[in-house]
Amino acid sequence: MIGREVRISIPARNGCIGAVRSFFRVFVDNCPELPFDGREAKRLELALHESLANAVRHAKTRRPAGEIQLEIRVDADRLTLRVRDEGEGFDLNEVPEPEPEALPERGFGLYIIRKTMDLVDAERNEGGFVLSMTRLFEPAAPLSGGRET
Amino acid sequence: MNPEGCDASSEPVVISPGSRLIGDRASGLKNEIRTALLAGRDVILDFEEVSFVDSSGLGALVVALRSANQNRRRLTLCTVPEHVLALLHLTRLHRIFEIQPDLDTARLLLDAVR
Repeated sequence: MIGREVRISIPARNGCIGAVRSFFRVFVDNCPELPFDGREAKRLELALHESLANAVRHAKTRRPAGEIQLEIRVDADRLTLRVRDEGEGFDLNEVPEPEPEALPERGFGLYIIRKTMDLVDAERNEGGFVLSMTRLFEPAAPLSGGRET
Repeated sequence: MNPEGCDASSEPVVISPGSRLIGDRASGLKNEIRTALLAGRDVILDFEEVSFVDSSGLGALVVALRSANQNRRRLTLCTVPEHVLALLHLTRLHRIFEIQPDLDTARLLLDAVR
C-alpha cells in the first residue's frame, strides 16, 4: 500500500459517515504498513469522523450540499487523510481551543483532530475546501498544543 | 413513598446515552437530562453501552453539566469505557465531570450527600 491512495466520495449527509468510518477501520486493520495499535486506530477513526462531520456541516451551507471526497494515502513514514467539501470552509486559526472550565459546547472537534494528528492544514481552492491531516509513524518533536501520545 | 421510607421522586434519574453518542442522539440526550434536572432530580449517565462518542456528544455533556449547575443538581458519569475515558482525558473534560466506576457507586455517593 506504500505510496498508494484510496479515494471515496460520499453525499454530504451525516448518515453516510458511519459507512466511511467502518471502511477506515477495516483499512487500518488490514494494512500491515500502518503501525497503529487498536487504541491509536480508534483515535484516528474519531479524527476522521470529526473531519467528515465538519465537512457535512459546512457543505450544508450550499444548496445542494454536494459531495465529500476522502483521500487516504499511505507513505513510508505517514498516513495522510484529506477531506474535501464544497462549502465555504473556515480558518483553522479562528477556532479557539476549548477550555473545559468555561463549559464550552463547541470546539472539541478540531481540538480532537489536532491532538490526534501531527500535521493539520486547510486550504480553500476552486475545488472546494480541503482539510489535510497527517499522522507520522514516528512521533514528531513535541510542540506545545500538538498531538498527544 | 417507597417501603424503605425514601421518597422515590428524590432518587437520581439514570439515563443511558445509547451506543453512539453523536449528532441527533446528542441533541436528544440534552433534552432528556434537562427534563430530569428541571424536575429537581440528580442525573446519572450510565455509559455501559456506549461504544462511540464524538464532539457533539461531548458538547451535549458539557451543556448538561451547565444545566445541572444552574439547577443546583448533580450530574455523574458512570461505567465509562476506557476509550471514552481516554477521550475525556484528551479533551481535559475529566477535570470537570464527576466520574464513578459503576452505577452502584454513583448512587451511593449521591445518597451520601442528600
